[in-house]
Amino acid sequence: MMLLATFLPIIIVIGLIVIFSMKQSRTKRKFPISGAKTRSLLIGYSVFLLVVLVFSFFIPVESTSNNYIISQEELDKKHQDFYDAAHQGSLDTFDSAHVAEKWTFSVEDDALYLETRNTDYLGVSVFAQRKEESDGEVEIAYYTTRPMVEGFDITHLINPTVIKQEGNTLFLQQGEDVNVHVTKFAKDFTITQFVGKDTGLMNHEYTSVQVGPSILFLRIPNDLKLVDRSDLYIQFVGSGN
Amino acid sequence: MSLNNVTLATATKKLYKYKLKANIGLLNSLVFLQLIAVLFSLNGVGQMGTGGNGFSINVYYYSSTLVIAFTMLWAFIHSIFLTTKTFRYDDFTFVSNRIASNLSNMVFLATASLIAALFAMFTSPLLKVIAYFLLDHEVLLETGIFYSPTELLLGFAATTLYIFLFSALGYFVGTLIQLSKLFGILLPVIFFGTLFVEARAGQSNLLITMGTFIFTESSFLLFIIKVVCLSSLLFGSSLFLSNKLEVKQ
Repeated sequence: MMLLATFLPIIIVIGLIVIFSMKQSRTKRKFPISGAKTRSLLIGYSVFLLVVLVFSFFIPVESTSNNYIISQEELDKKHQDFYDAAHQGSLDTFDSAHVAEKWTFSVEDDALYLETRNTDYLGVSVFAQRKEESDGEVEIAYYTTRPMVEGFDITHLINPTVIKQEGNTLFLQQGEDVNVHVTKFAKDFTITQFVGKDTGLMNHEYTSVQVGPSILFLRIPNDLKLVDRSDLYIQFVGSGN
Repeated sequence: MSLNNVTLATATKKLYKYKLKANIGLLNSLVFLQLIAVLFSLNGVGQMGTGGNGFSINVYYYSSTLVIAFTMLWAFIHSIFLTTKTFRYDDFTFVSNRIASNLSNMVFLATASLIAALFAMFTSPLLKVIAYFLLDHEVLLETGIFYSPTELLLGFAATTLYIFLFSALGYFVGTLIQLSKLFGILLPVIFFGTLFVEARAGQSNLLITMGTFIFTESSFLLFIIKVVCLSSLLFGSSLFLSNKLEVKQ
């Protein structure tokens, strides 16, 4: 059945060509030199394609760097460096990190509870770092590595974690799932065969699409006790938790 | 009047002019077929996806590859039809011989290849416009369908050569079938047999090896040489074999 589905377009095409050709063979006998309709059709088709060509120039399409690819090894290293920077508390100076959203919450109690809402799954690693001062303010930043498609940055499509404060509890909820549908117009194989490079489509060691990890980084007052109520596995940066 | 009074060039030219007018109807199917191919192309010619943590990306690739492939198939099948009696009989209404008939067919197929390639190349913008209005997408990307005039010319020339090569192949197959109807059964059996048996056995496929010889050639000059040599070989063989046909066979 799968085999039939694969070959269906070709079968249809062959069928159509054969039907057309047989029709042409028959009509040739009756009308040896005909074709006024065909000429009109060809002229119409040419004009149609030319109009479409002109129209296509006005379609807003993002242009990407040609054949942007990254090796899987390089990508893994980039993500590892991102985590390393988080462990060192230096995400602000890490080139590939992008702050998608920032929050500041005031805390009056000695303890702050972290809890997930609606679901146990958060889809983000949580890091925390104690500030030197005890200013009663919790600063949170959502860091992400920039998701890219063929060199085109789609960070703006990320839905960061939703955070809401209720008393001395911060409720964390994963942002709505994002499924980005990218339509990419590629050059024909009759051009890429001679001028194109490997786009990475056929090579599993390379990719032209990259989605990286995200980190929720909390900077908490020095004297604040952070309580994890939802097994978030908070990783503390620097001295003790 | 006999061929003594008409040179081969004159006879070929006359036949070619006649065929341009008589066979123009073949282009009807080309237009129809390319539009169908554009519709099939809306499924994309490739897809890749990745994601995690609630963020996924699916990239759908679009190009005129399918249109070009269908056009090559069109050229292949129509070339077979050109060798049939219905088409060959027409040539005998002119003062000609088999060489002039074959040469005029060759030139006609070259002309048809040029027109078909031109149309095929111009379906890329059509695909772009349809995809823009009909397909769901958050991001619309392109690395440029037409880059530079040089690349456009290169693409057009390569597409023409591909179509012409498939015409030559179709013409050769058609001639073989005219020689003996047995080839009409044998050739598909050999083709699909090789395709499936070797694919199932996991061996290096003969057809793939032959395809690689042309489809992966990255030097345009070598590509031209290969296509011209192969087409000449196929048309030359067709010419030689068609001489074996009886008059009006």
